[in-house]
Amino acid sequence: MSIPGALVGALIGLGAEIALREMTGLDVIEGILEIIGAGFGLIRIDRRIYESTVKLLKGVDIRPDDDYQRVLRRIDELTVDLPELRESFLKLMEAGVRAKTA
Amino acid sequence: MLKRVLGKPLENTGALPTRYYLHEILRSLDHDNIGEAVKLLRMSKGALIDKSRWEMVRQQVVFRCRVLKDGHSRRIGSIEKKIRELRKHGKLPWQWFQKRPVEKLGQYEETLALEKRAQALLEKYEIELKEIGKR
Repeated sequence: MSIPGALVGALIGLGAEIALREMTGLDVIEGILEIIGAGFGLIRIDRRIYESTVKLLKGVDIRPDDDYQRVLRRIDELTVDLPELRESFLKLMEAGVRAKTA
Repeated sequence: MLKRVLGKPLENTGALPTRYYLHEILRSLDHDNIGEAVKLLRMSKGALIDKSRWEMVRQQVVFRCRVLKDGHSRRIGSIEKKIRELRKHGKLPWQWFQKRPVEKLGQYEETLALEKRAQALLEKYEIELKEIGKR
């Protein structure tokens, strides 16, 4: 970590941004920050949706003695006309089975 | 912090970004607050970039609705069975002067009415969610 190095870096960055703005008329840094922000936002919401999907699957009433086929049938019953969610559930279940057998 | 201060007052306008609504819908879903989730889904516009996420969240709400409805219908079945048993045994001569079965019957009937009301509400929400999905 070097404070003079960071200051020089910041100055160079500022100079480059001003030069780019003068030449192209575009606010580059703001645009980049917006893209980074949107990217982080997407990652956050995707993770949240994933967590919610796992929680929903855990919330399904499954008895300990239920076999895989029976659980699949139950998921099928509950996800009629919900194709994307069904696909996610199946992927999660497959991952669970693979992790168990590994 | 900013979200809490500005989010709540503007929530009902539908002017906030779709992702804000998705977070709030998932939070409502965590607490099984289906009514709030449906309200927020109706508010959110489903911007193009978040369309698939919006649809996924909608499907999650529908799914939870069905799971809860299923639980209610199972409980309704078992309560109805208990009521039938109580009515049958309540007619036996040695139980004529006992107060407890009558009280129990009243409680069961009250619970049954509540369960049926909750089931009907969830049914209504599910229909509403399907309509929202067709938009």
